[in-house]
Amino acid sequence: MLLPPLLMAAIVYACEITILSIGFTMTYLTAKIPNFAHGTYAGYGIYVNYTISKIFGLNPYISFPVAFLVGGSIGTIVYMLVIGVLTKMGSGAIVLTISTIAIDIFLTAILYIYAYWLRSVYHTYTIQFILKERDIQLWGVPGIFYVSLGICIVTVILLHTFLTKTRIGVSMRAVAEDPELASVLGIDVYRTQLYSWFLTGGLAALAGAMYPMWFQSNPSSGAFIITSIMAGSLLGGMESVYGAIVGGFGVGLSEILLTNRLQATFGIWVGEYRPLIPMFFLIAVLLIQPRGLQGAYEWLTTSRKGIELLSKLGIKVEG
Amino acid sequence: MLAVIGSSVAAITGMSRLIVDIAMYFGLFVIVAMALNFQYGNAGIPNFGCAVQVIVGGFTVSGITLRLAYWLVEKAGIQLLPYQTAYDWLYNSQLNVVAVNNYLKTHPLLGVSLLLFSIAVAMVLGAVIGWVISVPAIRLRATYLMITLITMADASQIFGRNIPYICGGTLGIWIPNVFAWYPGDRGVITAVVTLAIGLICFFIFRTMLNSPYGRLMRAIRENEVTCLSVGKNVVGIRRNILMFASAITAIPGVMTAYYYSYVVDAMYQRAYWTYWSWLMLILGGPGNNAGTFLGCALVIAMRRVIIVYKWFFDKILFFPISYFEQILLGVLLIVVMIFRPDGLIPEKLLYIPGVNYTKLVRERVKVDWRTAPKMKFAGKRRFSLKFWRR
Amino acid sequence: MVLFWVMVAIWVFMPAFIVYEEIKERRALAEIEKAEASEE
Repeated sequence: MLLPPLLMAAIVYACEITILSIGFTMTYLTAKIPNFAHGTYAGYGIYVNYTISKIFGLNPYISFPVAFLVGGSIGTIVYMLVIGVLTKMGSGAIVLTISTIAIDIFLTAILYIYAYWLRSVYHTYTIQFILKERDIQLWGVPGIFYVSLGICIVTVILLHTFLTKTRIGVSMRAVAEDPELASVLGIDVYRTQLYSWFLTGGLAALAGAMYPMWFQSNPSSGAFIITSIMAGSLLGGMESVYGAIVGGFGVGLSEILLTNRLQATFGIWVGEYRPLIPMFFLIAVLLIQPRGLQGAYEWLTTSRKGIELLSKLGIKVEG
Repeated sequence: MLAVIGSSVAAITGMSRLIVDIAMYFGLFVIVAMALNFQYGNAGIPNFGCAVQVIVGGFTVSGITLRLAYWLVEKAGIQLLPYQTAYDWLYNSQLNVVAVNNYLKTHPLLGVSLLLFSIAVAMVLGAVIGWVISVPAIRLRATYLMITLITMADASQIFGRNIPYICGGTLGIWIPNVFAWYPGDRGVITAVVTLAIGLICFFIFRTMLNSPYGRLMRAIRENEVTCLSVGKNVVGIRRNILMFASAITAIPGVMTAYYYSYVVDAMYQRAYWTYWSWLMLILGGPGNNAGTFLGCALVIAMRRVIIVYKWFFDKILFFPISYFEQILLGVLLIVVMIFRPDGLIPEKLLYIPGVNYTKLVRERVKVDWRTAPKMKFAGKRRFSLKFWRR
Repeated sequence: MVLFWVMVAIWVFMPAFIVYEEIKERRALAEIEKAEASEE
């Protein structure tokens, strides 16, 4: 069975956006702020992959765990040095969000400087590159297709187990629900926050490491996909990790497939407007149902009108 | 193309060129920063869409005023090259603008009225944008609003880049010189006009902030529920503030277009207009105009000096200096937010104790999680009635 | 060149005026506080 390359690209992209959206939602849940630097962690993943596979000449898949660790440590350092300090000082959500924007600018600039340094030392193209040719081929399909789908599914399953079965995961959910109550119950809120920032940073960099295997990358491509991440997270309702899985996958798929579909209908010029698709999702969700799919699901299952609509469609709601 | 722009601006040379440049940028950014101070510092609305309003000002000049100028000059009997199709609009832009400039040289009244017309239209369009922003702003949480506004700035830039009828797509479009009647340097008179507009804006904002309306704004910032309970229309006041400040923010876009005689979407990046203006506001201290001016002057002087000495840095560094500038922006923002939460000039006479940074990093949790992520300066910054009763 | 100096004048005038007002305001505030302290 051979899928068309376009669909494969869409699936790879959707997997990346899904993983990033999960991380974005987890940050929003635990720290109550949208982390604008989340896309830039992915940029670090891209450059870890580039350094390992192009400069050291190793298999690009070796870089994935390294990217996870690098992204996780960046997330932890960011929380320890900036976000945690500002939280301890009692800053509000607006100040914290501005600080994530500042971190985003700072990290992107560091990444650019790193890329220029690599260029001046190794004399290769480091600003615009694609690592597709370093990928392995399995049955005529690039390996990243299987790997990204596998990582996405495994991440979702592991995360579900982690959040429902392990002690740290449960305490993380408790902190997300109510930090005050959690600290009363003896949960170390600060340490739980650190774990959550490590996990989100690591997942973001892992998704970033997959990015250059199929798509053209530059130091700011991580910061560029933040709109898609936010759209995916917002579509999922911003307050549920499971919503983010659906939302991220939907936005990622539709961004590529819808652009292609529209290009076939209206002409090639539509491609320039591709960044508008996640923005369209964003604004549509905010105007129609600010709580996203989660809110829509609750509306369908609990309100009278929603149940009527479902019964018209022939679906019966229990309870 | 850049060489052409450079030579047209650099009529005054050397040190006075730098002074004019700094004055111009100070005038542009002080208007944006004052409007931001009006919205965030005094009314507590986090407007992250400054770039949207500035871009509207720029697009007004390139999309509306330029066509009006062509039409008026053609009415006066001067033959212009065709400009109806996208191709002609772009490729005859330079020659057409030269013809228009020759005509404007002898008609100062037309030049001034074109300038006033573009400022008026930009203000109306900016107010419309402010109204559009305020519709979701009333319903949404502050963080959602920030996300929406930042993406809106990107979206407007994409439209500008891809629709040549607005501002010439990626190539950009030339703008007639409305100060062609002035025999001296164009940069100086543009800077004077911008600074004069800034002065007028400053007096308007000052009067508004010292009026009962300004006190009401600060009351809403401090406690929304109390204002609602005494029968104030909080939603309507917020909408008015956003519309007014957005209208003012559109003016720097117009003046930038006339300063460069050129409009392209890359001039109005959100990193440039939104983030640097926010740094100015936070560095100086939100809530008072003195802080805004100080922050603006410091940041602009630093940036222009870095850009002027770019040739020197490029020799010793292996990367473009602009990334160092970005690092400076990020680090400055975070440092100011941690060590000076109220800016260099705090809003009121409040003693700000020193912050022990290493202790804050190492310290184990001692946070009141009830209030930490929700309220700003809970209990620290208060609305002192004493101050306003006098 | 006249306009150049006009520009510099406006440019200097704005901050100077603000600083003047700020100082005036703070002085008035300090006086009020002193008066209130003496009343008590």
